[in-house]
Formats: sequence, structure tokens, C-alpha cells
Amino acid sequence: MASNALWQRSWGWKVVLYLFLAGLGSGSFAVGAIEAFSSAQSFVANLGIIAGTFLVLLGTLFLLWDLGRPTRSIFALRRLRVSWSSRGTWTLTLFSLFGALNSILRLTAGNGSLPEFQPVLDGLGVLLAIGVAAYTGVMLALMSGRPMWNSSILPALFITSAFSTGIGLLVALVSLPGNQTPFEAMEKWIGADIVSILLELLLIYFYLSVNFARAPESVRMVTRGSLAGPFWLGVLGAGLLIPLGLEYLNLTGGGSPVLGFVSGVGLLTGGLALRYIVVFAGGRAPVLAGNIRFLVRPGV
Amino acid sequence: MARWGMVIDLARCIGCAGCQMACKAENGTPPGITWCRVEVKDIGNFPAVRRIPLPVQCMHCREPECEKVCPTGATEKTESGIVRVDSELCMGCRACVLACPYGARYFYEEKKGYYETLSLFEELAYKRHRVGTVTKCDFCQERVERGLDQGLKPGVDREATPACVFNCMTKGRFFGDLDDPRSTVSLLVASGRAFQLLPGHPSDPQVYYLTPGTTLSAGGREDGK
Amino acid sequence: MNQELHKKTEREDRWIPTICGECYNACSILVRVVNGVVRKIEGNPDSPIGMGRLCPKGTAGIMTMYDPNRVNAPLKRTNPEKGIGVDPRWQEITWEEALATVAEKLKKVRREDPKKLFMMGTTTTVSIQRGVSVSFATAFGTPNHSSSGGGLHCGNGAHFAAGLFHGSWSMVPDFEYCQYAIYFGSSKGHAAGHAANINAQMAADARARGMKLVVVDPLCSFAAAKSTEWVPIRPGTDGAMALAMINTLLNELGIYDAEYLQKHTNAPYLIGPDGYYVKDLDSGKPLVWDLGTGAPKCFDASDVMDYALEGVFEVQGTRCQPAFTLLREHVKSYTAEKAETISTVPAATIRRLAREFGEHSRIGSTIIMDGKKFPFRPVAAVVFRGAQGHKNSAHTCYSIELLNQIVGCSDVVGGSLGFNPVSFGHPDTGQPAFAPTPAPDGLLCPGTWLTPHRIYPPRDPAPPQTMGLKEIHPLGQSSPYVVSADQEELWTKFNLSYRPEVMLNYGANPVMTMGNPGTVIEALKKIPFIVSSNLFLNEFTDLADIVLPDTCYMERYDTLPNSPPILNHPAGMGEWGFAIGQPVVPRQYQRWDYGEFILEVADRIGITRELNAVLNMFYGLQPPYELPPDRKTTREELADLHLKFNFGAERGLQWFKEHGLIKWPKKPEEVYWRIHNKCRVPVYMEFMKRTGTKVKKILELFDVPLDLSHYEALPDWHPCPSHQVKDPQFDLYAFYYRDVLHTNSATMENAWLDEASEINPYSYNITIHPAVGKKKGIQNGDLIWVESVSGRKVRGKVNLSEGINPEGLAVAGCMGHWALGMPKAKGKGVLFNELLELDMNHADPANMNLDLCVKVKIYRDHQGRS
Ligand code: SF4
Ligand code: SF4
Ligand code: SF4
Ligand code: SF4
Repeated sequence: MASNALWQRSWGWKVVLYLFLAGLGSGSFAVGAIEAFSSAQSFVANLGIIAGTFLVLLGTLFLLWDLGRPTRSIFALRRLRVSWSSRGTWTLTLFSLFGALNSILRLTAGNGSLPEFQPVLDGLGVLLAIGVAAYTGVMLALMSGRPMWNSSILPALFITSAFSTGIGLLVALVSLPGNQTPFEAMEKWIGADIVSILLELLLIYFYLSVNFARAPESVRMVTRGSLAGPFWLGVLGAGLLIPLGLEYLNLTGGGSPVLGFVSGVGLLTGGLALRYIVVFAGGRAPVLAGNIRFLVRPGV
Repeated sequence: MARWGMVIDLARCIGCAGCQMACKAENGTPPGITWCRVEVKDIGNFPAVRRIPLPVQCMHCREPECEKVCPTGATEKTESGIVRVDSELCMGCRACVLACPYGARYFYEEKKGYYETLSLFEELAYKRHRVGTVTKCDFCQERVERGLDQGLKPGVDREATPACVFNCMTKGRFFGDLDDPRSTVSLLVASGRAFQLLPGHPSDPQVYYLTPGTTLSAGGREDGK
Repeated sequence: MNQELHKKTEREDRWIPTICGECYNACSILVRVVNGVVRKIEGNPDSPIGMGRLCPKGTAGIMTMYDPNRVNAPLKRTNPEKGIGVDPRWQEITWEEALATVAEKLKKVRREDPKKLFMMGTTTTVSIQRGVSVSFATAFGTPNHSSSGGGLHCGNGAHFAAGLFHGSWSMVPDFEYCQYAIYFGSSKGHAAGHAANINAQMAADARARGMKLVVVDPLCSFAAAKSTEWVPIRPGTDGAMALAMINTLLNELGIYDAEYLQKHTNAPYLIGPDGYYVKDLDSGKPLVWDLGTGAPKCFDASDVMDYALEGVFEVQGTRCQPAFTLLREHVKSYTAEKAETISTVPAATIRRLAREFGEHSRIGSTIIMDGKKFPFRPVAAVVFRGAQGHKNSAHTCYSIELLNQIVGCSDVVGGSLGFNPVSFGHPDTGQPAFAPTPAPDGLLCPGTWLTPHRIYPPRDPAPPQTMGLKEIHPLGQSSPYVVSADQEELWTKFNLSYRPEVMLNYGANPVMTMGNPGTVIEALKKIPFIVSSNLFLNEFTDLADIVLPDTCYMERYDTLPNSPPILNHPAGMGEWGFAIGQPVVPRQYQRWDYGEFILEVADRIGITRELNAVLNMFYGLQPPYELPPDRKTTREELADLHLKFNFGAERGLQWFKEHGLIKWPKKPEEVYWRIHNKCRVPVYMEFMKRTGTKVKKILELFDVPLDLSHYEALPDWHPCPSHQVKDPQFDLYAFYYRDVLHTNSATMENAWLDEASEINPYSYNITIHPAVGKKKGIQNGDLIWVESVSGRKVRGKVNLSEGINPEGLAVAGCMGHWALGMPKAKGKGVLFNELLELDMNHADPANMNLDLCVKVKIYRDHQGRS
């Protein structure tokens, strides 16, 4: 009874995809832009920024598709003052505009001909990317009726996962055969990813253990119930532990582009699974009347 | 300006869902959309057990979480404390459905009736709802305001009172101005029997409940077991 | 275009007063009509029948009205084969063809033997069934008129007892003044049922005022949920508990209202050693013993100084004792300990409840109302469907009703009130007026009744020639034998000279409501020609030959459905209110009101004269407001005359169409009539014994073994078949109860009610106790089979609840429909009736009430979780 009742159905796979793509895109943008600070037009910088922007835009399409009235999405800019959703919409809009500008400049510029303000554009992009990755987490974290969301760990988890999947994407792309850029160029990012993976493991541990006290049924749904598959195999296995091992191998010299590719794909899978779990495990807590718990509209 | 509020007496309520029906009829809500609905739950252990009904609807929170999350401003609290959705502004993102801790909001996903085709009644009744937007209880705002325009008193005069209230078979629902200390609702809120759902939650509902008040008596056992 | 629409909007938007037809209560409603479409139904605040509020069904009536699945034209079957799942292959026909066909069949059976016509009606909407349909049967000459399950399941015991003791169809606590009510299997004031809507308002007030409510029920029912104390009894044992309470009151505590018993009951009647009244040799009147003069006197002699309730006397050379003494001695065997083993209710609880009941009754106290003094007995024992739905129905109701009689709380202030058995009539016209009158032996005969059968004195048994074998069940009203499994066997034994050939049904769905559907279908399949007027194509119409498109209540006239007010009119002080039903929108398609159909058919077969005469009698019409003998009347004309007769020439149909209803205040002498009325009520059922002996004589002629142990003058608890099952596998008592959301099977197709039923964990599921679930490895939501001793079974989803006696298994109402014509109802809930046996062994031998409790075993369906 419990696990089905706590399954959330108001948001579905389109939102999952949006959360995944927006996280992935902003992460990859951030990696690219940071890379650009040291070598402005390197392959990784261009790829990160352009692919990142594209993925965020793609995710936004899913978000719009999910709306009941997509043509009214412009109204979402109206409540910047109070609504995190509106703030997010602003962030997303600005990110998209500047990201698109940045990408166009990079696509059209010859070698060494990026404008002078490009670092400013890149820096602003990083800030906006963090916003894009984080705002959904903040929004969910403020939903007091949904114990699996109502947790300040969630924004941190989203940011970490965005960063990690961003690295994963770039590692995988760089490992593709025929690529000019040497795989070694990714070493520092692989190192960074090991740190994020360890951080993410820690965050997930805290996320579940803190929530276990408040929403044991939801946590059980994740660890033992209907979401256990995506959690153990997707998030932990494919998304964290396997990449962790492979990346360790890569750094200690036993690696290869093939393993890099595999770990990248693993990271992406894990990121998607994480969004899937978070979205669907976000059931509403029973409504308390005095000390009587009423499951009101389970599944909503 | 009044501050509208409601009190539902769980000692009177028998869980008949008459309010749910009255709301459906007054507001012509499409299938699956029950602005007011009645939940039922058993508490206690046999034989000291009671079946407790809980009619739920929008609580018209003073600090509505739905309003805070809404990016378009479609959800807004009026001066008189009614939290309403402007169906011309809402873009149907459902963030509010998720944000509401009370499960009070419904997404009107597609124009569909209870049957294969819309009945004459449905054609007429569903006109006010916009597909792709979110709807919920609005304290029968239209009815209340029409009544006020006619100089009637909400909570006292039937024509100015929400449908679920004046229809309740056990006279278990009350409506009125919480800012007026002499209104029935204010007196009931002050009665010592009143409570809000999710005790301690900052949303501060303006729908109050009165305790069921049943003592879980021996239930046929002399030893109280 | 838009402007035109706007103008149109302005043209029609009005509220029309009429009556609700979602159940037999006919609450007064206001219907908002916008451009010819019903937009909303509200309670009519001007009417005492509902007082402006509505139950869920009432408001949801719009969905019945506009359900696209309704039957819209007369249909005739083209596939001669009948059975479950066999498509009748309906073909639309004209009304002319339908009428001609029906008239021809009716003419034939009337020529051969009018008894071959079998008529049935729904209990959901009482008024047409009662008026036009019943009158037609009489005019036609058939005694075979029956109501469906609503009657068979609840009516025989409870209505019979209410009739005998209160002159009414049913009873309630006097909600305004009662301080302690004990309910046996009743939810009066908390769910569906008689005057449900108004009772709910009054009961809530009573609880808020502090009325203690003890509910004896195996399920923590709607009433138990609101009670001060829930007593989770074993099903079918309420009678034993009541008898032990009586024993405690009479023999342990010595609490009884001697004055009441002396004046208003047959407690002082002298009973001879044979168990019969000792009668005055000249007048034949039962005798009492006057302690004042030390001599026997006729019970109604005006000079009795002091009626003896106890003692042994010698009259006419025989030893005799007052009935009260016999009762007191008789109940001694019902110790609380014995009742505990039968009912599972602890002996100490039984004693305590008896004491509380006795103490709260405040015997001897009075109250002044309107300047007049009335007895004040603020307690009530109430019995209804749950307690009486067993093979021991008659005695259970009798036992529980005795609690009221012993403390003298019957129809006095604060006590147990019959629904309005006394009316002085409207101040202008003195109509409608009625009051119980005493039979020659002094016992109460109701002043008005809902069905043609007489409550008291009982008919003399005779060799049966009715389908329902009513002649040998003079105390019963609804009969299982019209559809029972053993009907053919019994009819053969009794040499029934005919078999039913034509059936006319109004609105009922006997397949779902009477008993095991297979049994019912087998019985009905034998009737060669069935005509049925229904809103939907249901499980029953699958057996019909012609289906007529019925009107919804908002499409037709109905004259005074709140009359007689012994069923759906609030008891207690307040107002009288009599409303009419009127069409609020023009009816669509080819729908016809069943009443019109009957009037037209009567005309075609040439019995208009007879029908009009019966209608005059039925509605009590007198010149100048009689129906003309020589021409077909209409529902409007009938209503008009009926209204004018009752309320004066100026208040005809036109007046009522505008005003909706008429009302005036009740008088305390009407409501608390007991002390002003000469009738006595039977604490000793001498007539039972007398009737039993006569029935026995007849049965001997035909060699039918009917258990006659129930025909006794003193109350007993008789075990039901379910109590005698020994096989430990069958460890649960399955029973059903009525959901507040529904009226029998009639509302199951309503889309809004269906939606609410889906939300409620009880409505569509099988409720058992978690301990039972644990023992059998069954979890909430699991799909299980419920199987009776005889192998009948139903499947459904489990709702585990602490609110049920762990020995019990509860199912709500008449659900589990399968007909394609009711898509909302189809596949929802559980059809409890599937488990029932429908035969002589499972009917109360005295009143024919069907035994509705079944011993079952349960096990998981192999599909496990659904
Ligand atoms: S109508 Fe009244 S009694 Fe019925 S469920 Fe609603 S609040 Fe309770
Ligand atoms: S109950 Fe929910 S929808 Fe209503 S005001 Fe509160 S948060 Fe908003
Ligand atoms: S669905 Fe409509 S009302 Fe709700 S948050 Fe979105 S825009 Fe606001
Ligand atoms: S109690 Fe019966 S008559 Fe009254 S509103 Fe409900 S369904 Fe209609």
C-alpha cells in the first residue's frame, strides 16, 4: 500500500528529462567555461559550452511540452520576487540567451578571434549554469508536504550531479575514436569527478538517512520498493561506483578511452536515474488531523 | 475587508460526502476533480475504534505555499483571504499541485466528461473551467460575492454561503468572517475544540476542524480492553 | 450569435420546486434550470422534508438525469434466448407497438386467470409503485404484487414491529429530547434510510446536545462511528442480547413502567394455561384482573381500578396469569451469561447497558408541552435492517421493541417514536387525518399503511394461491417465494392453479437485489413475457421481453410522495410538509412515466372503470374529488384531485406547482399520541400463537414442513443457519450493510456517487479485521474469494479495518453489477447477494424475512494483489 500511495504522479517523464538535461547541460557548460579560462578556445571549452547550451535548450522543450498551456510560459517571468519557479525561469531564459550568444560566437569565431568580453560571458554563463542546476532543487526543497523533496541536501545533490554528469558527457565525447584532443586532457576533470562522486555518495547517504526518519515509507520505496532497481543499479552502480572505479583506473594509468567512454555513459545513466527517483519518490506526506494520519489523494 | 474562513465539525460530520456532491454541482467540476472530498480512516484498535471522516478541500492558507511557488501569479490570495487561481494566467505547470501540502489542487488535463460524450449538463457546467490549468476550491467565491452584492451575509444567508456549507446534512460546516470576533466561525475557532490540519505547519489554514470528540469508550468490554 | 446566446441565457434561469427521487424519502428540492437544462439541485429550505439540505444522492441526481446510458425508446427483444451474458438483441419499437403487445398479453391472462400477472416495483421511488401500480394490480385482479429486495431484506421484521407497536413503518429516537438511545443494527440519523436527510440533521443536534448513543452492530457502522459506545456483537444475535437486557430490567433491577404496561399494552391480559387470552364469555373480549375489586374485567372496562400485572388468578374455572407475569418468568432463562455465549457481548456489559437504559428512562417523570402534561421517557431502543435481516427476524424485532414497552417510552416525549402515525390534518380541511385504532381485542391497528397488506389483526391463513404464499405467512409482507429456488416445488405442493405468465416491473432490479442472482434468474426465466420500465438496461432487463424508457423523477408528476408520512417524514415536533413532484424540464426522447403507461394499458384492456374505482379508494378520494369512472385519467388529473381533496379546492395542482408544498405546525398530541390513544400493544403476542396453530393446520393438508417454533407468544432467540455451521473452515459471518452513498442498486450507475465510492475504502471493498488478514496472509487491497458453506462465492478487494468484529465480514450494498447498460456500475464493488440462499430454509417462518447472514471462508485469489 505504502509505496504505491507515495508514488508521485503530477510530474512525469517529461519533467524527469528536463531535470536531467538541464543538469547535464549546465554541468557541461560549466566545465567548458572553466576550461575556457585557461585555454579559451580549446576543444573541451567549445564542446562543453555549445553542447551544454544545446542540452539545456532541449530540456526546456520538454519542460514547455509538459505545461498545460505552453503559450503562457512567458507569464512565468511575472513573479520573480517570490517564486523560485519564476526565478528559475529568469535564470533559464538568461542562460539560454547568453549561452546561445556564447555558442554562436564560438562557432563563428576563427582561432584567437573571440571578443574581449568573452571571459565575462563565460563567467556569467557559469553563474547562470549553477542557477539552472540548482533552482529546481531549491524549488523542490521548499515543498514542505513532500518529505523526499523537502530537504536542503537536494539542491547540493542536483549541483553535484550536474557537474558530474557534465564531466561524464565530455569524457565520453573526448574518448570517441577519431577525436583530436588527447584523452589526457581530461585527467584533471576526471580527478574532479572522483571528488564529486565521493561527495555525491556522501550526499545520497545523508539524503536517505535523514529522510528515513521523516519519510520511512518513501525511503523504503527507493531502497527496497518499486524504485529499488533504478536506485541500486542506476544511481549507485552505473552512476557512481562503476565510474568511480574506472576513473580511478584511468588516473592510475590503467585506463583507456574505452573505459573513459564507459564511465561517461555510466555517469549519464546515473544522472537520469537520480532524477527519475527523486521525481517519482516525491509523494505527499499524510495530512495530519491532530495525530491521525490521512493519506489525502495518494499519488498526487 | 472580511477574512473568510470555514469550520468543519468532525463530531457532527458522518462522512456522507454530501459536501463533495454539493461542490461538484455548484462548481460543475469535471471527472476526477473533487475540490471537496471526504476521506475516511479508522483510528484505535478493536473494539475501541472509531471511523473518522475528514472532508478536505483548499485550506485557504494565510501563508499559501501554492502561491509562493506559482511563477505566473495565477495563484493569488485575495484581500478577503480567498486563495484563487486565475484560469487566464495559469500555464499549467502544476508546481502548485505539488507544493500544496493538503492535496487540494487538481490539474484539468483534458476536456473529458464522465461518459463518452458530454451530457447536456456537462456542456453547461464545464464552461467555467479551462483545460490545461489548475483548479481548486475557491470558497464558492462567485456565490459569496453575488450574495454580498445583494447585501446578504455569507455564512448566514444561504445565497451567500458556500454550497458545501449550507447543504451539509449534519449542519457540520460553518463559514464566515474570521476577523469578526462574533461570527460563528470565530467563536468556534476560539472554542478550544478547533484545530488546523498539519499542526505546527506555517501555512496557517483558514479552514479549521473541530475535534471528533468521541471518547474511545470500552466498546463493549468492561475491562476497557 | 454571442448576443443571441446571451439573450437566451437571460431568458431562462429559474428554480423549480419538486421532489427528489434518488430514494424513497422524496426530500423537497429546488431545481435550477438554465435554458432547459438542469444545472443544479438544492434542498428546498422552505420544506420540513429536508430543510434545505440534501444527502449526497440528492445532489448527484443530475448525473442520473443526464446519464447518456438511459433507455430512450421502447425496446423489444429479438433474441428469444434469455440468460446471463446473452444479448437480448434489442430492437427499438414505437410506443404504439409496445402498448398493443402488452395489452394483448394482458387481455389474454386476464381472461384465463388474472393471477397470472405478476407485478413488481422498486422500493427506491415509492410513490408510483404504491399508487398507480398497486391499484392496477387490484383492478386487474391479481394478488401478485411485490417489491424487490428493498422490501424483502428490510421490511418484513422491522416494519411489522414498527406497525404493531407504533402504528408506523419505522421508528427513531425522539431526537429532540432523547437522552439515551440504543441502536440494534440501525444507522438511523447517520446514513441512508427513512427520512435519512432530516434524521441526520436531528441526530447531529442530539449528539451535540449530549444524547448517549449505544450502537450494537458487528461493524463500526456509520452510526457506531458517531456513538458513545460501540458494541460489536456477533451477527444475528441481537435478540438474545435484548432478551437478557429485559431479564436484567425485569428480574434483576425491577425497572419497568407499570402504569404504561397496564394502560397501553396487553401486559395485564389474563392468559390461560393454553397460552391464549382468557376471554369474557359474552363479549369475547380478553379479560384482565382488577386488583381493586378483586375480579376479572374486560380489558376495556372503564371501572378497572388497578390492573394486575402479576399473580395467579382463577377465572372461569381455570388458572390464569397476566401476560406480564409470563413474560417476566419467560425471560428468566435469558441470563446475561447465556446471552454472552450467544452474542459475544460480555454479560457485565449487557447488565450495565440494561441498567443505563432503565435509569435513563426516568420512569414516572413528566414534561409540560404546550401547557399540557406528557410522560417523559428519554430513552429509545431502535431496531432496523442489520438486526432484523436474519432468520430470527420477527422475534428479534419483537424482543428489541419490548425494551421500549417495558420502560414505557413508546411515542412519548423523548422516547422511541413511530414516524407520524397520527395526524389531525391540515387546519383548513382536516385532511389527511389518521390515527391507530384498537382492534376488538384492544390491540393497535395502524391508521394508515404503505402496502395493502394488513398488519393487525393478521389475516386468517388460507391455502395459498399467491406466488408469494402470503396466505400462510399472514405476518409478512414481501415474499422470497416469488423468485425462490424452491418455488416450483412449493407451488406444486400447494397446488397453485396457475403459473405467472406476464410480469410488469417498475424500476426494480430483482436480479441484483433479492438474493442469489442465479436463483432469481432461473425463476424469472420461467415467466414467458416480462415488461420492464427502467432508466437503464440492467441485469434484470436482460430477461425482459419489452423494456420501456422510464422518466427520471425530474421529468414527471408525483402526488404527495411524503404521504402517508409514516415512512419519510421527520418524526418529532416541527412541521407537517407535503410536496408534489413536477417535471422541471420537458422530457426527452420517447420516455414515458410508468404511471401513464399503466393508465393507458388499463384503458386498452378495458379496466379503466375498475382502476379508477381502486385509485379513488387508494387515495381516499371522495366526491367531488373522485376520478370519473368512465374515462382514462392522467397523472396530472389524479394529482390535482388528490391535492384538492386534501387541501381544498384552491390548492390544486396549479397551486402546488407554484408553491411546491404545503406545511403547517405539528401538535404535541399528534407527535406524542400514545397517552391519548386507546390502542394497546402486544408485550404478549397471543396472535402469533393463534396464527401459528392455524398455519399448521393448513400446512398439514399439503405436507409442507415449515418450522413453526417461531409462532410463539413470547419472545425467543432462534439461531440462524449461520450459527449452526460447525465446519471450522467457515469462520466468518458475512453480512452486508447499506452505504450512505447509495440506495440499494438504484444509484450505482451515478457517476458522481461512483467517484465518491472509489475514494471511500469501504464502499467497493470487503471489510475484514486485520487479525483475520494476518491469520490468512491477506493484506489490504488483496483480491480474495468469499465462499459460503454451499459453495457460492464472490470475489473482491480487501479493506482491513479495526472497525469490525473479528468474526465478521462486511460488504456494502447491492454492488457488483455486470450489465453493459450501466457502465459506471459495472464491475464495481461486490455483490453480496451472490452468497445468499433463497428458499424456505432461509426465510423467517413467521414473517418471510430472508436470512441475510452467511457463514463463509475466505482465501486469496490466485491473482493475488489486484
Ligand atoms: S456533508 Fe457534512 S456530514 Fe456529510 S461529509 Fe460533508 S461535512 Fe460531513
Ligand atoms: S490548501 Fe493548498 S491550495 Fe489551498 S491555499 Fe493552502 S497551499 Fe494553497
Ligand atoms: S499550475 Fe498555474 S497556478 Fe499552479 S503554479 Fe503553475 S501557473 Fe501557477
Ligand atoms: S435522502 Fe433520499 S430523497 Fe432525500 S435527498 Fe437523499 S436520496 Fe433524495
